[in-house]
Amino acid sequence: MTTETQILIAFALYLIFFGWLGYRRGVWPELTLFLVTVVSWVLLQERGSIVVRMTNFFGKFLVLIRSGGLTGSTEDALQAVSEAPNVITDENQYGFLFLVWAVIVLFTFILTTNTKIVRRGKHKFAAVLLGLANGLVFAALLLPVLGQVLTTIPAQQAEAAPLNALTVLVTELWQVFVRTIQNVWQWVQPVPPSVWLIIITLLLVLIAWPVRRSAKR
Amino acid sequence: MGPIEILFYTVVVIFAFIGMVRGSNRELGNSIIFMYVVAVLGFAEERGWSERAVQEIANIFGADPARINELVFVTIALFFVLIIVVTYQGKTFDFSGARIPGCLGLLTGFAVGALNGYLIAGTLWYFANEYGYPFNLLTGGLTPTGQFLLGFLPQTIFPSAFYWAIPATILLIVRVIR
Repeated sequence: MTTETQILIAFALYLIFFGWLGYRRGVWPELTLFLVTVVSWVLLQERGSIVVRMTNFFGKFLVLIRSGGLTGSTEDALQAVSEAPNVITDENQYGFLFLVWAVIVLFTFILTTNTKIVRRGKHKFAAVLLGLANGLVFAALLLPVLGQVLTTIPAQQAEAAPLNALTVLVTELWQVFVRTIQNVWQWVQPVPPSVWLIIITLLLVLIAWPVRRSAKR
Repeated sequence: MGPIEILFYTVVVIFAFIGMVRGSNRELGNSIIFMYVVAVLGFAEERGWSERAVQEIANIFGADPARINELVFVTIALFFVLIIVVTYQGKTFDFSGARIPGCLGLLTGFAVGALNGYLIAGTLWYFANEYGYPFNLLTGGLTPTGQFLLGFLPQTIFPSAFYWAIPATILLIVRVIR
């Protein structure tokens, strides 16, 4: 079997999965997901600098609050703000915009799964077509990013021992995950104790609230 | 024996799985108790009350003054373990009979269980470190990871361990006003 045939079969399997997903989810959720995915991607590529500037402005505002700008000396606070580096720099701008896009897509996917928010519709064939379109869009947008991990596995190695290739892929993805966590950790350091307290309390209340509600019923 | 942080991670993961099985509604009741106990133990330890109390008891029984660190650690550890057993065995501030269904239920149970494991393992590690790792609990020095984690134990993550009373009280209010 030629490499082209293998690629075709793999791509067909991938599209069948997205077509089936479209069939299950319905036409309106798939259309919403398609539009939000494409529009948000184009907007972030073309006008992403607005989101970056807003995030940097918010970062400076946090520095202003932490340095007592709202209550203490204005001069000290202004100096702290002017010396504070931008949260989003030219180096991490692409990664940040990709993260924003991924969050938008994920939220859209979750929200459109809820039939109370978006009804499914009856056009099953259109739903399958939109599912396929979503598959193509995700392939076009995600493959260049995933390719950075996938290219580390030589094709011969993958053909000779598929399980070995899977191990390499999982190991590589795990290392990417660990490095990301370490980078995020270094980026957010130092976290004030008050922030830890708020995070822990909020998480516990968020978990406790639905349990409390179910008890009322 | 391997690095002490491996033991810490293991205990956290074990309790996280216990939490996943029991459900967050039951685990939250334990969390309230553990957070209050951590707060009270920290409060007593910051003022040297626990050490003085054990010293007095040791004097009464004529214990070796050189082994006071071991005695204080054993007393605190036994007291804490007793509370853990009682809270897991007996009635606590359970939120309801109904647990959160599905994956979310498993995930929240895992998270609250991990918090309980962190409070338990972290507290025992903190007191072992405070009293010089008695009974050769630590044979070599701490690894850099271990040193780093020491700053994130329940007693060290906040300026005072008494801060744990805040989420515990808020949870208790959520529990009571239902």
